[in-house]
Amino acid sequence: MKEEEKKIYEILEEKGVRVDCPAAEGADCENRREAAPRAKKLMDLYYQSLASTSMEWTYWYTRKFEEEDGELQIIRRAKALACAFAHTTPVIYPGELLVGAKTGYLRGTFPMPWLIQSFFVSKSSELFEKYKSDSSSRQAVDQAAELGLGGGNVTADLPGVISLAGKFGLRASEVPMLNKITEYWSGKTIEEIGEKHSRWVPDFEVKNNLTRTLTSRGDSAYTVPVGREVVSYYYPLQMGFDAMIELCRQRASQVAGNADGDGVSGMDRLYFYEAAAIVTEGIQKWILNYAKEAERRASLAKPGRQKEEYAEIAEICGWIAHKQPRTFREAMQLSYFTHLALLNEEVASGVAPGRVGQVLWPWFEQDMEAGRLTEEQALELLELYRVKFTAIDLFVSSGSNSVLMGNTFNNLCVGGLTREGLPACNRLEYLILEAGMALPSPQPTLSVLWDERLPEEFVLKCAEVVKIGAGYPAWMNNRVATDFLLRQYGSEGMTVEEARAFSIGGCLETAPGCWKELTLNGKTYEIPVGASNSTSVGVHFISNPKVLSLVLFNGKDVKNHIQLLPPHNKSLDTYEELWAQFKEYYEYIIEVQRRCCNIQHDIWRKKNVPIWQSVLKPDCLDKGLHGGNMGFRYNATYNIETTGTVTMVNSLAALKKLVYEEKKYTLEDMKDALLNNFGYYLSSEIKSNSISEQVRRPDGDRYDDIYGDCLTANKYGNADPYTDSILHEYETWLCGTCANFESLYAKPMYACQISVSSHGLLGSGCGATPDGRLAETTFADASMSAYPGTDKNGPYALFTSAVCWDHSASQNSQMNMKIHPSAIRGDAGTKHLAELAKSYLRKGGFHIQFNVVDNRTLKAAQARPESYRDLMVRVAGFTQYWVEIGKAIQDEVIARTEYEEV
Amino acid sequence: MEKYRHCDCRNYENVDVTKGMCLLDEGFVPFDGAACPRYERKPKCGFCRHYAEGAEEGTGVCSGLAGGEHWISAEMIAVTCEGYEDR
Repeated sequence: MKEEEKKIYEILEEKGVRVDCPAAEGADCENRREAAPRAKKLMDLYYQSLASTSMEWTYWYTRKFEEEDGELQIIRRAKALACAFAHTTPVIYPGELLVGAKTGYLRGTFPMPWLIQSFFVSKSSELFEKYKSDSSSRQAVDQAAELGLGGGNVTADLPGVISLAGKFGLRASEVPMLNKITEYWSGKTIEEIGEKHSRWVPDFEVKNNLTRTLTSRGDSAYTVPVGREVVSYYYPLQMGFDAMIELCRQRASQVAGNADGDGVSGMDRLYFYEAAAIVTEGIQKWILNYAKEAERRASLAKPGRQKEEYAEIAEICGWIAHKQPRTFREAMQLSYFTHLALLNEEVASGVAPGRVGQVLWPWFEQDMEAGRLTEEQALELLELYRVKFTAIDLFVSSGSNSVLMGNTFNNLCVGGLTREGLPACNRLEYLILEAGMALPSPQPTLSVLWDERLPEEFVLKCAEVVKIGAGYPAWMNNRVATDFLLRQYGSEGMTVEEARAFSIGGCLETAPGCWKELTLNGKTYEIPVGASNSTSVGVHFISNPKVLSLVLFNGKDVKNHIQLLPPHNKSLDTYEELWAQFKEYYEYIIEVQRRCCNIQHDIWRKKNVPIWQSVLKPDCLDKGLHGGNMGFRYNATYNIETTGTVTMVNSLAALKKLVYEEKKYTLEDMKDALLNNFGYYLSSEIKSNSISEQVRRPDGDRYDDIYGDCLTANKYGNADPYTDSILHEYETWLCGTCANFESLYAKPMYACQISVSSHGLLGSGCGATPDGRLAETTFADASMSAYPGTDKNGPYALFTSAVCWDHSASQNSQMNMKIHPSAIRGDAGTKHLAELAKSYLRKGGFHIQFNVVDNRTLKAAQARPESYRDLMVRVAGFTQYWVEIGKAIQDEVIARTEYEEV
Repeated sequence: MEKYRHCDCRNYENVDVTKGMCLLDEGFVPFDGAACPRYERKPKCGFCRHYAEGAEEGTGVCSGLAGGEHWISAEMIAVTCEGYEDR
């Protein structure tokens, strides 16, 4: 670097803006517990395993689908699914008490080319050719280094293995299968058919340009069409598979040939029941294959504990493949298979187990009372449950991975209220929290549905768990969520009592549920289960700062040099005119995306009928309608996602102040500064999107004044009415306008305000913004977090800013906070932490989560990732291994304001 | 399939695309490593009497299932296949 090229942190420090925090002393996190030896051993096995892809499932699905040519689509798909389940190789690792995997690898996954294949088909062909012609160079790959760096991601080819989508390894010997299968599906995928019919939407080309320019990510129907929802394990747990199949057959016979007043989908009920029985039988065979394999192992193993454990697995799987589970362990095992089956049916991210501690309570209670189970045994099973969920991987494109960061968002919630409004937490939930402390792992992530009525002891337990530094539990506001649910689902019959059955789907998507009556050994319980469609599909991630940029530049994407939106040709003489144009462009983008999305999801529901998802969720089995035919109890679940909210608010504040009120700069001055990135190199030029690594050009000092004024202009997060009023106006408009858009189910949509990691991806596609954020760097994370280093008045001022609007008008909001471990040390620290969380939620905040971590640790992990394989951080709605997240997001997490006092 | 590898052995449990676990001693072994004397054949399509080499590289033909002939890979594990018959 030349002497006159200055690093951004030097310049920011000169201007009084902190982008990093000095590390305080005493950085160790508290409350680490030892996991059970077998859980620790299996977790170690996980740490040594790579994300692996197999063609087995894909092959059997495709083969059967081909054979059934001419059959009804739903039956054809059901038979293909059943065939794939029945032919999946069981894998059982020594020491496991809970078994099951998506494919024949520990963290295995597989492509679904009937949904989408554009992101890997060309790659596979190219790599196959490469493998054939360049195998000697491939041998030179340092396999050990790959295993040590970047966690389990297969980011580059290995000997005999190709890397797909920058994450997954596929045996090169399976590439011919991949090629033949993708050839079969060519032209038949949801992606291709969706694109074909979406072309009827006016301004269709704009939709693809929105994606191309990282202005908005659409296409949820063929990226991750399922998830961000809460599972219902009710039917398998209450009835068992045999009774479910029998029910489907009886109902098929009853409805065959009868429309029963429904001339559109009444006749479809027969085919749904037929399909439901077929898929359930396939899942039965899958579980029975585990029983068979465990039995084989038991017969070969030497006498001893392992032999007995294989026999137990055989007995348990043999039973739960047919009947209602008898024990806590059987119930856990059945719920896990049920869950995995959902993930094998469709590309699904954010399939949440929900309030498992309440769902499995009947077995826990009865086993404990009968002396069949000790708390120590239950804790061990819960730790093993964490290992199994952490091993779940998701085969998606690099683009989707960069948003999801490899996370699968299996959210397990504790707390909340019963139907009667009493605290719903129980002893099992304490053990779930204990397991999260003993075996910190990304999955299942934990959330507490906080309510004033929860016992203080339970709330403190949650705070204690936060202190281990794993980023969970996240804190969700029970009252705000139920207010939202009543608002959104009231027209579908939601009541206050039923709203209390909600849980969180995905990272923090409020998802409606219902209460189901469960009987075990003659005793009746009421359990909360998921009862809706996916709650975060629709218009994916609109980049708010990019929309503002389009307003400033007359609809032109100045980064990519294209006229992205129709020019508005307005002079933007007033702030009000600017704001009005922002809303106009935003609504235009929603409309284009929404219409294409509705077509894509309509094709998806017709071709990739969600059979198992529908079997599980109330009220599909009762109605005889699958989810695509609105069989779910709640169907108003489509959303409009935003990202970069705070970057946008800060930018509007800077424009309002500097251009429109003080008139210190003209709009042209501002646009010139933005176009020239305030005198800095583009981050693509210096090969780093990280906030703190940007470099000023030698002649960049001519923008110093405007840059300094933009940086020091009013910023969100300081209880400053100036910026808070901008946020309030935005939120009031956004939440209102989303309801004016209609989903394919003819229901109003809603706002979803999470960022996941989209603040990194979409930030990289956006030029400089008037708040002083440089081009291509990350936006402020989440939707309520301050931009790193700009919240200077402490956490309570940040809270005041965040709650300047009604959070129940949105599906969610998101607040991430980083706290130095020394700030919450000891019992007093635990209480302070709990009070901090409660303070925010009492004010009306929907969600808050904490990173309890020392920046020194994070920096050390960047320098020596091989020594930090198990280090986890909370990004935005999810916990992930530090070594498996991208550097730009790593730097953003480091740069976040670190509170040393709470 | 004549030179047997760890991954062709019934005692090999896949861990990932590069390695697996030998169930006899619970240690890691490489996917492609040469099998030991304790080798026990794992049902794979290439070992099935209903498998025939195909014209295309990397795939063969399966004639063991009710739906009729279909292309397949010799490398497919067949422990769950109802038509598998050891060759």
